[in-house]
Amino acid sequence: MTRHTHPTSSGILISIGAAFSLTFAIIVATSSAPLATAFHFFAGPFLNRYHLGNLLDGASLLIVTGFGVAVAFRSGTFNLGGEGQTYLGSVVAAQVAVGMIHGGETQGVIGAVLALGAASIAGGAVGGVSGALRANWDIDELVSSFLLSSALIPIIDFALSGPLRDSSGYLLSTPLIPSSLRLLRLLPPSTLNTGIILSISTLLIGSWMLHRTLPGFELRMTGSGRGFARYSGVRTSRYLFVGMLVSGLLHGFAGGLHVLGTRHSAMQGGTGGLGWNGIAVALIAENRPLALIPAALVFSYLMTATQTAMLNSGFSLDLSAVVQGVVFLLITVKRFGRSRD
Amino acid sequence: MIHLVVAISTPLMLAATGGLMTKLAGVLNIGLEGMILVGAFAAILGASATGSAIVGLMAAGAAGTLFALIFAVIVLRLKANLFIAGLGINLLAVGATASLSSLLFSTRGVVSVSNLTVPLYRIPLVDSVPIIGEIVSGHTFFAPLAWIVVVAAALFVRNSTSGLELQATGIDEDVVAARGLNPSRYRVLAILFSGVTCGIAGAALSLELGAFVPNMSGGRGWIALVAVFLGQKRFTAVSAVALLFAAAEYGANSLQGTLHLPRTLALSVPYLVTLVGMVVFGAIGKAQARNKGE
Repeated sequence: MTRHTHPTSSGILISIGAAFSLTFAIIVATSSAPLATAFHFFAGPFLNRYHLGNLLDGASLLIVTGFGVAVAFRSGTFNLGGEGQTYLGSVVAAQVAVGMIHGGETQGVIGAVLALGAASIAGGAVGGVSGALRANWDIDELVSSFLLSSALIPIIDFALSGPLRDSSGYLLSTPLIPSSLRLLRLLPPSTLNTGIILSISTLLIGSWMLHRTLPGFELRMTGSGRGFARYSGVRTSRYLFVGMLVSGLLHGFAGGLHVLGTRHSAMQGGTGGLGWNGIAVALIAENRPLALIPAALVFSYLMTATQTAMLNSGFSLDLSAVVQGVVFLLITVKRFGRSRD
Repeated sequence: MIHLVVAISTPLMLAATGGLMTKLAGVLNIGLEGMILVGAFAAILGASATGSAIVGLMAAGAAGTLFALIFAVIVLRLKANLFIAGLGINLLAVGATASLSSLLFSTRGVVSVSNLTVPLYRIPLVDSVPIIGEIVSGHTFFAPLAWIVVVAAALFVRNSTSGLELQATGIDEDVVAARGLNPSRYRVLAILFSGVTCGIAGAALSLELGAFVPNMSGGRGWIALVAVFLGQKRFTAVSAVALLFAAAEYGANSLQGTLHLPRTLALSVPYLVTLVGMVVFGAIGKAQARNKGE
């Protein structure tokens, strides 16, 4: 069975166009004031700092999870556990950060590095398990990463509703992290923060490693043709593991950024969607690192536009899963496709 | 106990049978999960509109078929990637059920139907036989339906000409095409069949509960998919794996009951059980392959 997921340029246009048209049609059809709603769908994200900042913040997180998905794809693996890995990263980052309140020493930069590092390691460990199962026992990493992630989510849900919950608040979340660890807000009142610098630097460094270093080269070689790579002396099973490990690391990192930059605490369901949307963004970018930036912006715009239109339509629907579904269904479509691959 | 295991296994058997049928035709159907979910929702929609469980069942089959048709067109006609399109079906199912639930029932939560009863069937004579009576009698019509579907599908694939042609499609579509047959036709029909079985599996979940709960498919499509992976193209083996997963889930749940663990955690049990099953079978398979190789 082929695991190569080549989005097609016609598929990218068709899927994004269809996702835009369908959400637009649904929102306008259910709205009591269709014209105003249509206006807010297209212009809403740019009308004020709040929505624009949130759009950019959303994109900065999607760049990281999208890159995580792309790295796995480039190594020839498919990480379907991004949701759970990101969620776990957020909880671990929050716990480390909150723990520093009790530890007494709340040193900003070191604390933030520790929290983000721990989040990345947690996500990497989860991705690495699926990678190791694939590398050693040939157990399908697509299914195992999904199962592991889906098992983790209810456990984290439970932890945030009980043991780790801030008992003084009404939300199902951890206590707020100390302010010295928070990433600087760039466009208040939006959630845009200096995490966007971290996310783009991560992408640039990762892209350099992928394209300019030997391990990166061998990883891509493993992904584009395992048999050929093996006969060329590449230890391909190692790169199946590494691809999933790095993918998990990046997802955990995104979860950490979500806490330190966006929310300042880990909330139940807080990172929901970052995993699935990361896959969509990676597909739109055709797994090319630099193309992830525009892809994440387009996807984040679509999500923000849906929200701003919904705020003005008087009727609230959660259309994010519909958008994801339409994009996934159509992105690999070959309209003028040959009869066989 | 066995009675409950059979009840838990019913939706798994139905979905796995559909999944195996598409695999035999050469199409891995990742979208089982979504087709179960739309079936569960459509069943409640149909039952609440008419008060009849049978109408709910038919609506579930129709909804599953509709999603299967979308999947078939996108994968076979538009040549999309199987995995990505299958995930799209699952995501679209979540989105469509949540949106329709908001629009039609004004809730994103539980939709329950009052006064809905799915009758239990006691089979005369068999009912009084110890053990066997407990296993086969006193279920809703879904359990015997699932068994009939499995047996019928197995007989069809093994003994009918069309069934053999379907298998041939999965092995080498060029041979089928060279014989003047259309491979896509068997694939479309297999996918539609999986839509019907998954739709019914969803109905079994929601009608027996008398309510639709968001994401109530709860990973059953994935578990069925793993059963198809592990069962290696044989209906008996796939059904046995489905029963095994059901038994393990029952065991884990009753263990949880005695330990008084919170209910949220119960949601992760089926995934963990399936993952452990996959790892164990995978490790055994690898060990066997190594022994053969030396």
